Amino acid sequence: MTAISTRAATARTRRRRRGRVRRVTPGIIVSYVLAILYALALVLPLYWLLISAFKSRIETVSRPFTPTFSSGIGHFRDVWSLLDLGTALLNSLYITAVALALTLVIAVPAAYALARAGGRVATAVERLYALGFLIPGFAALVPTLLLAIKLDMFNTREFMILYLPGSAQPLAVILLTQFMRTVPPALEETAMMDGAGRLRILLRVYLPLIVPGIATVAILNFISYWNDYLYTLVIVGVDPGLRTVQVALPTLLGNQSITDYGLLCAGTVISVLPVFLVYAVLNRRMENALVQGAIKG
Amino acid sequence: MTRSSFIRPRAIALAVAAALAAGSLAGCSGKSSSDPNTLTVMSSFTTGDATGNEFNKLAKEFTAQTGIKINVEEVNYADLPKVYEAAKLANKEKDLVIENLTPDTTDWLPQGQVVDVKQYLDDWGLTDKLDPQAIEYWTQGDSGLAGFPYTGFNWPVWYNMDLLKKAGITQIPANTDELIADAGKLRAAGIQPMALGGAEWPVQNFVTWMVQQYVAPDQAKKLFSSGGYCANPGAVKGLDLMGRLRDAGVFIDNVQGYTADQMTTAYFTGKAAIMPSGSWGYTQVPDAVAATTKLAGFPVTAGGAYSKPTAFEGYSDGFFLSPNGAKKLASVEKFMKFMYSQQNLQSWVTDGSQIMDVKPEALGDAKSTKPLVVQGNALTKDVVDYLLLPDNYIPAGFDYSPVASEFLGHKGETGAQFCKALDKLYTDKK
Amino acid sequence: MTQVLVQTPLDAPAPAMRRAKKPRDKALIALALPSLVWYVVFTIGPLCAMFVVAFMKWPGLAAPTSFNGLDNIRNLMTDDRLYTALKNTAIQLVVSLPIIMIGAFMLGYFLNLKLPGHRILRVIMFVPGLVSLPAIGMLFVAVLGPTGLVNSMLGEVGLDSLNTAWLADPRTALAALIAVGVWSGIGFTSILFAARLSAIDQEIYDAAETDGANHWQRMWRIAYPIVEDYFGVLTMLQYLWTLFGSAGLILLLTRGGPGESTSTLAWLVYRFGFREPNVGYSQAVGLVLFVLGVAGLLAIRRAFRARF
Repeated sequence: MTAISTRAATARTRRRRRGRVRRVTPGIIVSYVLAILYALALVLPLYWLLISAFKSRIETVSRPFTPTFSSGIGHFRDVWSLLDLGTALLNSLYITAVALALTLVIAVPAAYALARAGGRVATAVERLYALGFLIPGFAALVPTLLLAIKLDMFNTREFMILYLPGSAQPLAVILLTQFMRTVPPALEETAMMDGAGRLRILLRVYLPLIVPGIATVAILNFISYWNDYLYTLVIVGVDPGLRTVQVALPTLLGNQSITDYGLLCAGTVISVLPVFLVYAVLNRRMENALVQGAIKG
Repeated sequence: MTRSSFIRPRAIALAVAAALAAGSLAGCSGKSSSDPNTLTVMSSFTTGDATGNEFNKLAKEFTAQTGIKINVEEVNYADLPKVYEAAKLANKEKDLVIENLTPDTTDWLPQGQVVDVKQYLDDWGLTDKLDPQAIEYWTQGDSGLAGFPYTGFNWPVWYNMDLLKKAGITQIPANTDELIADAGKLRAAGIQPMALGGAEWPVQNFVTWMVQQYVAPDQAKKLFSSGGYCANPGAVKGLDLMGRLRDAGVFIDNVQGYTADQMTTAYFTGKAAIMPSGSWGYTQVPDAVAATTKLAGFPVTAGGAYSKPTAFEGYSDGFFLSPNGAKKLASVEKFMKFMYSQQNLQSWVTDGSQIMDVKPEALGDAKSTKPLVVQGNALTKDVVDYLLLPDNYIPAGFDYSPVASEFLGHKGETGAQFCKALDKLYTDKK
Repeated sequence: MTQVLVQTPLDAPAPAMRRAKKPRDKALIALALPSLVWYVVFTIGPLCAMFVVAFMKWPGLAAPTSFNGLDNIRNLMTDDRLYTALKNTAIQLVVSLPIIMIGAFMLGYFLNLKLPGHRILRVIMFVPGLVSLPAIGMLFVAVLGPTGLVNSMLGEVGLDSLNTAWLADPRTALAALIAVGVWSGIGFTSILFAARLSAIDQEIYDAAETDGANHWQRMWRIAYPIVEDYFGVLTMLQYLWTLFGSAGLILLLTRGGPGESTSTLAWLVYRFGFREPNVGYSQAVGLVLFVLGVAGLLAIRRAFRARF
C-alpha cells in the first residue's frame, strides 16, 4: 500500500513538472459553464449581505439586489455601538476558541487510540460514536438545557465550552481516526525502539503528520461553534456581558415593528469576518490533506 | 516529516490564553441576581427602536435618582418567551419582563411562571391611573392580573390619498363594495391596491378582522378561544368576505407570500395604496408618504355587526413580575411608580411616540408632534368601531398564518372551506 | 450547527490503510476515555433524556410536568399532521438526496481535474457553510419573496405570468425549500468528493484515457467504483442532515406553511417543542425521527452492499 501511494505521488510530481496537457472537450466546456453559474449562485449571499449593509432600511426590502451605497458606512458604526459588538465578539471568541481547543485535546488521543488499539472494544467505541449522528438537532435542546441547570451552569458561557466539544466528538474522532490510520506503523515502531512513550509518540510522531486532519476538524467546528444560535440563546442567555455576536444580532428584529435590514446586514458582515479569516488561514492546510498523506506513505 | 507541518504548541497555548483573557474581559457583568437593590429586566423594547431608546434612557434616570441598579437584557420579541421560560425552569428568571400578552405568553400566569400583580397595582396606587380596559385585557380570569399594562396601539387602515387620486378616487371607500370597486380602479391605473403581510402575523389579525364584520364580541371571544368557525354562520360569512376581496383583486399580487416587512415596504414605497397596519409604524414611514396618508377604519360591511368603519386598538407591552422579582418588592414598587409617573409617561408620548395604557388625566396634555401619531389619536370611538382584539383569547402557541396564507393564495376557495382549516387548529391541539 | 457537524464527511484516505497491523495495544483504548466520557455526558445523555421526555406531559418549558405513559405516542399515531410531515419529508429526501449526491460527485470530479480557477471555485463552494443560517434565511426571503430576485428576473425576460410567491404557493413552497437545500448541499459535498477523488492514482485515469474513455465514462466506470464506499458514507450523512436539519430553514422561511405544505418531521419537533408548546409530544416526534434515522442508515448500507 505504501508502494502505491508513493508511486502515485511520484507520478503526480512528474506530471506537475512536465506541465499538464489536456484536451478541451465540449463536455468540459459545459461543465465549466455550469460550475461557474453555480458558483455565482453561491456568492449571492455575500453580495447581498455586502450591498445591503450600505443601504437604507426601505431600500433593503424594495430593491434588494441593487447596490445603492446610499447610507455609507454609517450602519457599521451604528451597529457596533448599539449592540456593543466588541464585547459580543470577545464572548464569541472565548466560547469558540476554548471549546475548540478542548475538542482537539480530547479528540486527538481518542482518535489515536481507536486507530491503533484494535479489537472488539475499539469497534464498539466507534459504533457508539456513530450514534451521535442520530440526534435530531432541535430535539436535544431541552435535555441539554436540563443538564445545564443540573450542573448549576445555566447562564454561563462555560457550559457551552463544555457542551460543544461533547457534541462534536463523533465527527472529530471519526475524522481524525481516518487520518491517524494513514501514518505508517513503521514510524511508530522506530520511535518505540528509541524508548519513546505513547504520549510522546502521539505528540512527536503523529501530530505533525495529521495537521491537515486537525485543520479540517478545526475549521468545521470553528464554523459551527461560532454560528450557533439557539443553544447559546437559551442556555447562555441575553445578558449583554455574556451574549455572543450571534445572540446580539437578532435583537435588531423589531418588536412587531419594522426591521432595519441594513443595520442587521452590517452586523452580519462583521460577524462573518472572523469565520472568513480562520477559513483563509486553515483552508490550504485542509486541502492538501490527502496529497501529504500519500507523500509521507 | 518535519518539513511541511509543525504543530506549534506554544502558539496554540498563546491563542487559548488570549481567548480566555477575552472571555474574562467581556464577561465582567458580575451581577448578583438576588441583590435587592438591583433589578434585572428582560426587555423586548430593543435598542435601535424608539421604545428601546426611551426605556434605556429612563432606566438610567431611575438609577441616578434611587441608586437602584437596572440591568437591561434585550431580546427580540419572538425569542423572548423561550429565553424567559428556560430561565424560569432554572429558577434564574429575571425580575421583570417587558413583553406583550399574546398567545406566546398567556400561559405564564396560569402556570405560575409570573405572579399576579393585581394587589400591587392597588397597593401602589396605580390602579386609578390605568385605563380600566387595559386592566381588563391583562386580567386572566381567576388567575389574576398577568402584568402591569404599559404601552398600547391602534391598528387602522392606511390610505395613500395621492395614489387613490391617481386612480380617480377622491375619498376613502365607505363600504366594502366601494373598496372592491376602488381596487378595480387602482389596478386599472397600474397601482396595487392593498398590501397585507399574508405569510405572517398580520394575516392572523386580518382574519379576525373579517370574521368580526359579522360576529359580535361575545361570540368572537368564544370563536378565538375554542374554535367552531364552521358552526358559526357569521364567521363563515366573514371568511367569505375575505375570499371575495381576494377574488376581486383587492390584495396586492401574491399577497400570500408577503412578510410583515414586505407589506410595510410596499406601502412605504408607494407600491400599494392601502394597508392595514398598526401605530408602531407611525414614526417609521417616510415623510412624503406620511404627508399623504390618511388613517381610517376598514370600510363598513353591509348587513354587518358594526355601523362604523372598524379598527383595532389594544394593549401591547407590559411588565410581567417574576417570582424572583416578587422577592424584591420594595425596589419593584419604586420602579413601577417611577415608570407610571406623569413626567415619564409624557416622555413616552412625546419622545417615544407611544400610546400609553393610562387614563387621559394621568397623562396630562402631552402630545406627539408626529403627523400620523396625531391622526391615530384622533381615531376615537366617534369615528371608528373598535373590534375585539383576539390576542389573549387565541390559545397559547396558535398560529393562523400558515392556513390563512394558503387561503389567500387559493382563488375560489370559500369561507365554508377555510373554516375547516381554522377549526382543525383547535381540534389538533389535544 | 448540525449542518456542518452532520454533513461532514469521513474525509478519509483510502480505507486500504486500515490493513496496518502493528503495533497493537489494547490498553491504548484508555486514551479515548476523556473523549468518551465527555461525549456520553453531553451528547448521549440528552439522547437518553429524549426517550424519557417522550412519555411525559410537559406543556411548555417551565410548566409542571407529569408522566402520561403512551399518550403522546398514541396521539401522534392518530395525528394527521404527522402523516403530512412524513409525506413532505419523504418527498424532500427522495428529490434532494439523489440530486445532491450525484451533482456533488460530478462537481467534485470536475474540481479534481484542477482546471484553471479550481482553487477559487473550491473556496466558493464552502460559502453556504460559512455564513450563518439566519443570514441565509434573510437572503432567501429576498430572493424568493413576491418582489424578490426570482420574480424580477422572470419579469425581465417577459415571463411575468410565472410570477408567484414561491415560498407561499402550495405548489412551489416545498420545491423552493428543497432547492435551497440543494443549493447549499452540493457545493459542500463536492469538496469532500474532490478530496477523496484526488487520492485516486492518476495513472488509472491516464490508462483509461488511452483506451479512449471520455470524462463521462472515466467518472462513472472508473472513479465511481473506487469511491463507492465513500459515496455511501456521504449519502448516509446527507440523509441524516436532510432528515434532521430542515427545521432551521423552515422556521426562517415558511414556518411549515402555507397550510402544512412545508411541514416536515424536523419542523414538527421544533413546532411542538417551542411554539405550541408541548415538549413531550415534540420529543415523541424526535423518537420517530430517530427510528427513521436508523432505518435509513441500514437501508443505505444495504443499497451500497454493506462494504463500509
